Amino acid sequence: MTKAVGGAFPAPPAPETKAHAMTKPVLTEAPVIRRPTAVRPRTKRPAEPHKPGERSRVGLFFVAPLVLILLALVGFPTVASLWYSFTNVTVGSPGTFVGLANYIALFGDQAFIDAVSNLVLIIGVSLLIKFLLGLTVASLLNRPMRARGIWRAIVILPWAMPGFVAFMGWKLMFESRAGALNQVLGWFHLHVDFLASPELARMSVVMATVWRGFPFWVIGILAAMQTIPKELYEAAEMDGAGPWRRFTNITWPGIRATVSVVAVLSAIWTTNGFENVWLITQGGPSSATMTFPVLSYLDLTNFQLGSASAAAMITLPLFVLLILWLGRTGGKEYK
Amino acid sequence: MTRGYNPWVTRVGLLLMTILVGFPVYFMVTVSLKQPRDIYREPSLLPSNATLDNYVQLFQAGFMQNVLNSFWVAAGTTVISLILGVLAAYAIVRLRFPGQAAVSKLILMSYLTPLILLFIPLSVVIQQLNLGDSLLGIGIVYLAFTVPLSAWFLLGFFRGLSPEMEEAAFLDGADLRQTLQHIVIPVSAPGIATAAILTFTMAWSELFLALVFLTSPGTQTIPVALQNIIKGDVQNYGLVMAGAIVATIPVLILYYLTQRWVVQGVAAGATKG
Repeated sequence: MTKAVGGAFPAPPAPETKAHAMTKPVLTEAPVIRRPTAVRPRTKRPAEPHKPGERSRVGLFFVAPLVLILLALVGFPTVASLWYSFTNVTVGSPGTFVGLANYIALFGDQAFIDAVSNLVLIIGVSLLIKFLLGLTVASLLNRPMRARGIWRAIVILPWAMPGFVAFMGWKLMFESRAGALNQVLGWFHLHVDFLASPELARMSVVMATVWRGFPFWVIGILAAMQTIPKELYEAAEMDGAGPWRRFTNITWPGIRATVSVVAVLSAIWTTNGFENVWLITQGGPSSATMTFPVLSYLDLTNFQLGSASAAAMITLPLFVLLILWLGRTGGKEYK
Repeated sequence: MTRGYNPWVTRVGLLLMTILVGFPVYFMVTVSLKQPRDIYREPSLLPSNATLDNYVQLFQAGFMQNVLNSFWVAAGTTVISLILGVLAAYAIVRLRFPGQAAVSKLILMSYLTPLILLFIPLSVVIQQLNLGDSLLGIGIVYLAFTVPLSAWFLLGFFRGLSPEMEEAAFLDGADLRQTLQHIVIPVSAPGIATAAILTFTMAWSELFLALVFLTSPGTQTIPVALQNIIKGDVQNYGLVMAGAIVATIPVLILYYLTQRWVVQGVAAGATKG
């Protein structure tokens, strides 16, 4: 295969290569070229195999199946959910428009109140600890060491395994008698019923959620840290900058962009998380660990599609904000 | 290189990290190797009286059906998601057509849309299509998250791919289909394999939608079957952990095979966490 030089380069003449066909005068040397567009001197885009009209049709043809699937399976349900949340639809009955009744009923529900406060007490706290732990472990793995790849593979484990396995495992860890935590506490003649009181249940869910999710932060932050030139640290050290100054002036600016992308994605997925709460507490005791996904699921199992939709919809503004923030901070990929 | 790094801090840190990550995993494995009476009556952190009874019992109770259900749903959605994802991502990165930016945005939005916004209307539609409680039904529903996942990952991958080889092929007179078949797909095999593995493991491990859509024992995937054991009257953790480990091993093998690409994708936010 001849190695063609991309059209982006000004391509100095090099008589033997076929790439040369791309500069105007040598066209006759390249009989294999059939399409005139292929030899048009190009300035902006490489590889233009088709005429503009042709290209449009091919491109549309390529994306059409995906667009149709996404409109049917993501676009339509989102709109339908919004509509449902304003109706008293149930399984088997299309229902009628009831205005804000579902939302008003929701606001009067203790489970809803708990779900709102758990946005901070469970989701917010989990994210904060994931960030701190992720930063700490990433800094650890960024130190000089042998076999960094193996240590990174170890730290990925909680995140690589299926989520339901991680949370079933933690449910077992929290078990009153058989659980590993109580066996360890037993060495000190202590015993804790992790899932019995609201505060402990919340803390337990947070613990499991952090364990499952922090490797994502470690990988992201570590990848960013490794792009920071070592010379910067050496220079700063020679100038007498202490560890904290080195962090705030070198490390943090170097990882800030990655941290914001990781934070938004992690916030979206943690808020959207179902397994962490469902498998460990099912929202209990009473509704102390309730989150919106669990609330919505419980409404669905009671065949209350309207209020289930309202419980799902209520977090939509939050997601919109997070996605907009991602667009602002996350670079062009997310715009 | 050795500026002020105390190797003991590194060692102790790595030890703590390994305990944090490894202890729950270790405990899950030991419980899967214990009889129910040993789990509760004589709790121990050691795998005393280790036995494979749980694994045997699990498969005698028909767990293979759940494994196969999970496999077919995951494999089917992966194949479809990859075909749609490769075509769309390639078109967006390399071709030009009206609405290009909008499609790219649609993929990102779909990728970030929470499943709880989607599952209620989808359950109504699937019921109306008479696909409720069927593997085909759940497979269709899974496309709602597997298609955006694979397309988004492949978009990032194709963007990082140099177009030189394709240009050369076009110059040699290859048409679009030939270029895709002989250049693009072979060259991007690692990216496509990673997208396949991410998609497969997401579908394989999915609990929430499976819980909503799959109700009868014959259609249940692994996560649903195991959560039903956990929610039963007798919480047989030995059985649950055995099933969980059976479900985890293939995921970890696939995962570590493509770890390099997955890790690169994380910084770009290409994988779910």
